[in-house]
Amino acid sequence: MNVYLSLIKREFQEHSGLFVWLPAAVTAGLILIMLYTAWKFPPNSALFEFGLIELVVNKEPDAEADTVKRQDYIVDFEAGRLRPLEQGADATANGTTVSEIVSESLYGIQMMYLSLAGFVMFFYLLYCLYSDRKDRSILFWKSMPVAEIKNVAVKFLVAILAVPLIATAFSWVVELSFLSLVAYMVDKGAPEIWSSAWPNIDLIRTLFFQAWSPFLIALWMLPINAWLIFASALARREPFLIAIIPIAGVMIIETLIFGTNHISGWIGEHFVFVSLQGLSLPPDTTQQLYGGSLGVADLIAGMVFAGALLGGAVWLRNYRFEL
Amino acid sequence: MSGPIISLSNVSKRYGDTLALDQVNLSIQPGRIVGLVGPNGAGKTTLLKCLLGLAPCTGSILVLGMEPVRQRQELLRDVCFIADTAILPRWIKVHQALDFLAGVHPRFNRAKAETFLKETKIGRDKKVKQLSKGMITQLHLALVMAIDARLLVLDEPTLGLDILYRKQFYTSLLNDYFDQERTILVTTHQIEEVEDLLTDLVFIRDGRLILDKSLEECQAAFVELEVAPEHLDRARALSPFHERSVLGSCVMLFENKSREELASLGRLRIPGIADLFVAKMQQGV
Repeated sequence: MNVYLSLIKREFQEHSGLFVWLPAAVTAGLILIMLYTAWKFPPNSALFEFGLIELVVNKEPDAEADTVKRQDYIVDFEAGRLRPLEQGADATANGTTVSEIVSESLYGIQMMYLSLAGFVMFFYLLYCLYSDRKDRSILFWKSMPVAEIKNVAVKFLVAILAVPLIATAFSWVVELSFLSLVAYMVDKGAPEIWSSAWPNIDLIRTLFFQAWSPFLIALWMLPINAWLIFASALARREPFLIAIIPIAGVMIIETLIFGTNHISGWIGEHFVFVSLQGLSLPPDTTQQLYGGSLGVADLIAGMVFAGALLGGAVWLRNYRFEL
Repeated sequence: MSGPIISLSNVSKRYGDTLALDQVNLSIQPGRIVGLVGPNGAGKTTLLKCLLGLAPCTGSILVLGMEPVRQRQELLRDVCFIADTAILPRWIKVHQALDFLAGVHPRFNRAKAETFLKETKIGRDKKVKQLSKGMITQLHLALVMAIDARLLVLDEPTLGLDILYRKQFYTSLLNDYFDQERTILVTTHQIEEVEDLLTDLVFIRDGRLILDKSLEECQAAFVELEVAPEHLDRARALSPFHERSVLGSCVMLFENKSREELASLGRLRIPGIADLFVAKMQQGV
């Protein structure tokens, strides 16, 4: 008997459509589209990096290419050509390399999946402590010897960690499919380009940071997500409005009375931080944790605020659960 | 256990301006089947919620020696409840419900639940929303009966079910679940259906208990008199607490009156619970 395992299983059984089938369907769709595009429109497919493949395949012979020892190729979209990057040369000073474009695409794919996870998380958190009160099944759950703190904790952790981690796992499937197709197409057109670019694509490091980023995002978004689950526990109808109206109201009042935007700035920075710093390239964990306009104090303040809201959600679940 | 399984002392519960429970005192011994009966809005469900720790209240409540609000998780290892037929989550499959209970309830016996379910037509892969109301109740009862609990609380468990399922429900409860170690507290509107089942009666009106007796005590205390027409005035002089006409005859209900004296005024019989309930509800109104 494992209570936590059973509670986690219950969440996945109830929300398998949102947690698993939705990203699985998106993954299947993306892979099909990639295969179809690669088969139908090679080599000038916009899907594969803004004409990168077209450039590679239609590469004009470059005199330098045969004389320098290459570590990668610089992509010059404006000129419509690829320039070899000499061994030891600074890639950043010279422009964007083939390996960088491919790596960025991998992060781009994950970002798309994390956005999907964000969408799932938003609605799941808003309704997870409301829908069972609405259909009265809460009385069944409450007839079990399980403390509400466990219920709330499991629902919250499933939302903020399991959902983005599952999304990341699915994004890996798409990323690896994408990488395989790019490798195949570039290698087929210009093997020397792929053989010099491939060692610079640090796949293991990329996947590691991708697995790490959901934890960072969860940490920074704690207060926002805790607010959503609190609204879910508080709402007697329409949790969406309960979550949005007070925040919007406080923001408007602050602006009207004080002429400042501190609250919206703080909320916005937690989002912006996540989107710009949390997924920055190249990934830098120190930068992610302490960098940007938010510091450790903001992180701790967010955690304290989230703790209070989660405590409030547990209290509401215990004593004010009826609609 | 020698002491009462449920003990309430001066319990009150207020919802805004409404006093849902007003100084309720109640004691229930183990091994009893207690019917909590009252009209809509009388406070039955509120009382059950207080007992189960689902609603805080004033006064003192001890269930199995525990305070329900403070020790709810511990208490629910020994207490089961069925709120009504609609509360099983509609998305859950039967086997998932079995898995869940096996995972979270230390006293749940899965094999026992499977045995109960074998006697029904409920498929393990069916979702609750695919089951009829009667089947949902059967499933819920099978889950609850497979828990080795000491107190079972049923709040209108057969609401909305047809007569066959209602009969089946109470038959299963008596034959497969109840024993002298267990206590059942049940609220229902279909009072005549549980009449043969109950050992104790509790009537509630406007948040107050107006009757709290064992069935034996009720039978000793209350008597129904079909009054001979020539003795109507003499019977009324003995202060019946209820009077009604049945097929042209006058029937009166008396509490704690000498049966010898009443027997000389007409035909005596033990009142049915439903008649007693109606009489008690109308008393003093």
